[in-house]
Amino acid sequence: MSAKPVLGTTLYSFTNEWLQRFYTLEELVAKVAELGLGPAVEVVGFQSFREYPDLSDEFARDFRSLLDRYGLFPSCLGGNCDVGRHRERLMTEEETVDFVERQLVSAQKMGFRVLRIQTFVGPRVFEKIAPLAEKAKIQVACELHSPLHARHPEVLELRECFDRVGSEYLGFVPDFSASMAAPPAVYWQKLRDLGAPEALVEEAKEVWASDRPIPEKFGALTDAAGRYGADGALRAQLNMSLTMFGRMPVEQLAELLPYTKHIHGKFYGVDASGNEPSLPYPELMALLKREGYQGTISAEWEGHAFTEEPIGFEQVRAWKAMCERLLAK
Amino acid sequence: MSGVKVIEDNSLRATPSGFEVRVRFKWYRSLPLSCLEDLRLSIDGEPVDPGLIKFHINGHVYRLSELTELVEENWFVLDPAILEVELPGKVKPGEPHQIDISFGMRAPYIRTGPGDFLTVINRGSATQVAA
Repeated sequence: MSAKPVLGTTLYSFTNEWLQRFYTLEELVAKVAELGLGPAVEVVGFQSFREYPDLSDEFARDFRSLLDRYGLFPSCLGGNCDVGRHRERLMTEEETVDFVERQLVSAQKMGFRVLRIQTFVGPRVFEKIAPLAEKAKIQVACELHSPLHARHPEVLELRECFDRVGSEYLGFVPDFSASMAAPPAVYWQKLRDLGAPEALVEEAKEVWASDRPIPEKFGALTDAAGRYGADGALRAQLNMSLTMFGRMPVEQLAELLPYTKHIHGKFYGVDASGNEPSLPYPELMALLKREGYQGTISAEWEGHAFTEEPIGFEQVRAWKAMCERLLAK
Repeated sequence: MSGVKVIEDNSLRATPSGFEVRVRFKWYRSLPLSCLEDLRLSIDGEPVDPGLIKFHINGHVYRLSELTELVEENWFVLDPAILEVELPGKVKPGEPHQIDISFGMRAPYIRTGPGDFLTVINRGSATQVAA
């Protein structure tokens, strides 16, 4: 039998349950274990940990023992580079490195193997982080989703940086939403809810599915929004079709795997037949199996961008059954 | 299914200095206080001078104008902030009042252009009987 990825979930999938305070952190972890959604558990630091980016030794110890108790392990810590936190200026390079280092320390205390950050910090910050990551033995990896893809100039620059630095502690966290079959139906419905006429929705669908370069697509959406008199909220939501849902050919994921430290198994809705129509899961799982990927994949249900219904657990359960079925093929 | 509300239910309270309401923001993660932008509050349709609003969070009390500098203090995603408005006598216990609030929360890690970041607009309107 061939090697397989290790499945798990991010607690971000349970954003609706969390924000509505239906579950405490302990209860979320217990439920993940009870439903068999582990063993790998990812956490967005700024979502789940009050004191983040710094965490006390005591809190870290309690969290580790909580996961231990349920037979789970910490996979990826979702970090953020808040480079725009000052209203008037961007964080300097030095401040960015310090901000990442604090999160590295927290990841280490909690036992996470990977710290997720954002691509835009760029190669210079990654080069400075490399020795810190090696010392902490934590992989620092940037998340790749639309409008980025394996051959985007920004990504090629990072690949070149990772090759040059030659550290196994730097890499990517590809997100499956880079390679979507189509934006989910709930997304188009959101546009209608914001007042988009059907003809505008149809135009946005055509723009999304076209092969034009991304800047041109943004231009086409702006043009269409103007013609239909879309307001600010609708315009922002229209642009999200290009920033949330990518069209990278699945095969290009193979180019990223040598640098891949963890994967975000993004999805919006597994249907009653056990499939996710907006993402090419059969092809994605076949590729990971073929390439022998043995890293972790988090179920990342982002349907909460479109509904506040607390259905994260049932969705992640359906996702896991789908992935296991596809990996068994 | 109620979801997260910007103005918490039953949170309007008459105080000796005026009134207060409890407010949350709609986003999935905590954000620095410096990311709060352009908070507007009106009561019964009348805009309140932002200089009369105090922002209670994490056991601290700030003027809105002070928040811009607070890059290291977070508004935890589950916490309501208390907006205290200094308008003595404006609200009495048992009275219904309409409150409208809007503010932006800048997502300081989601770029929309050079030096620009996504700003999530939060809006809430509620008529509540003051406690």
